[in-house]
Amino acid sequence: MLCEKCQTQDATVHIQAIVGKKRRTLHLCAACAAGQGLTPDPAASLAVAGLDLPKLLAQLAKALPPVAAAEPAAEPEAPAAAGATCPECGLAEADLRKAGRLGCPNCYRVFANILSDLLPAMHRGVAHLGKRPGAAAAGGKLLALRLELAGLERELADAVATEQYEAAASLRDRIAEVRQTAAAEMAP
Amino acid sequence: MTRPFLPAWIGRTPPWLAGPRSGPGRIALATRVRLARNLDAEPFPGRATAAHRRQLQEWLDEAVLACLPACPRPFGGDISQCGAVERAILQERNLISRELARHGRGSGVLVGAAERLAVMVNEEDHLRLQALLPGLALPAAARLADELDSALARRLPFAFDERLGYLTACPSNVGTGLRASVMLHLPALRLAGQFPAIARAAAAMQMAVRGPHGEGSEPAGSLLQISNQSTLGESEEAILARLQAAAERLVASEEAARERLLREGQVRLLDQVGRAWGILRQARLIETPEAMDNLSLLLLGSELGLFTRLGPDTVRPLFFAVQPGQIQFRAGATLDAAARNRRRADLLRERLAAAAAG
Repeated sequence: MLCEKCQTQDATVHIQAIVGKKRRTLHLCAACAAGQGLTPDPAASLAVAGLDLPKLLAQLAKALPPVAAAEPAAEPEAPAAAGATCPECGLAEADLRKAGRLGCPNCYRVFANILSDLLPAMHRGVAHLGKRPGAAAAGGKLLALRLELAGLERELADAVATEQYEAAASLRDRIAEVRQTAAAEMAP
Repeated sequence: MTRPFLPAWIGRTPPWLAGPRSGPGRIALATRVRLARNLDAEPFPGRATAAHRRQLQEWLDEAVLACLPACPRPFGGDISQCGAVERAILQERNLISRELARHGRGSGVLVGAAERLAVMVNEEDHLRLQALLPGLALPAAARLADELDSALARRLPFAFDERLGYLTACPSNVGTGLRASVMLHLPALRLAGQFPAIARAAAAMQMAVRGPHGEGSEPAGSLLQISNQSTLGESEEAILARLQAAAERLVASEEAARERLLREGQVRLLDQVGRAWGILRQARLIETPEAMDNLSLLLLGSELGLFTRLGPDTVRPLFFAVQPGQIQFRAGATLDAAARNRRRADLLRERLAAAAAG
């Protein structure tokens, strides 16, 4: 397969990425991948198996305009976030972009801007709906609601798969109700 | 601590490979549920100084040992006590990650409940709690991990944010910190050329597909691990339900592909299984991937009743016995690749000859 950018070299770097809401696979040659900032240099592409996803995503989010085109391409970086450093652990923004790892829990506050771009591309939602520390006792009701929700979602999938659309519609309503109750329960 | 790092029986087949021989467990060999947890107000292991990491490790080890079931006695400790062969064995038993195997002093693993629980300390996160069970057992594995997590939360202040949930070194784990995976043996789907389609379907369901030893490992022996990618924005139950549905769908597809093979592809099936039998009975040098691919075909053949004497009980443990760490453990020495290939071939000929004669 030829590199989709230069169309001359063999594509040796294959990257699955979620950009905006769309998933796409990029097939690039080593040089173009390096040009996109996806590998430090062509020589390093020998270590393709060792490339880590977060790093690629972090760099992709920077290098590529969103496929959905719903948002304007590549906003100029917010001056406040550029060059931010975590006062607790000393992690600089450049370190985060390079390694794709945070330095300490406080980094989540310091780099909230970067993360708010990154998290929707990695996850199915942006708010935690799961377990809380010490919630075993307090979370009784919430746990029951979550279990109910999981069950309803499976039923919905089955209903859709078997084309029982009336049942699916009422399941969807019930799911919305349970979600609302759960959200109210979670509000501090 | 003076307790030996690995118990003497570490060469035995891991319990997660000794699952059910019928039902979905024939195809969904093993289940793993992992929770990532970190201490509040402390740097993540990758950012901590070596001295600080060791301090944290002492604190974490104490809490973990207090929470792991005491019987049978947990084993493990600092990874620096382990040589290359022991690290390989721990990885082959899925008790540690490839990343932890590369770490030095200040990181380690503690294994309890007869290998049903393993806790990696100071890997990428302060704690990685893992529950490992044979067969397709997501709810049971989740409960094991969850109970250990709740017990630890009474002793340790975990980094938790109201909006983002459990905070982790990599943002791809934030939220629930839950990564659940099911190891599937899908030889008929592989023969039918369905692996690329599986990868595409998994991606569409936001599931990751990897080789048998997790991140970075090559698919071998038609073994695939399917796991959730998203950890934020849905509850643990919803994540597990989606994975369960995906695993069940793959099990059903494999069953259907096996039936189709028996119905329409008998000659091809017999040819493939026969060739595998021939290679494994005759090879004098064999590398791990080739051994696994052929064992996978033997396992398929034995499960479909093509052999009169060779049963899955003989074949399954060989998946583990042919791994590089195991070969060296049995030899009691560090061996280069050529010597391992020779010993691997010897072992296979010997075990299969015994099975054929038995």
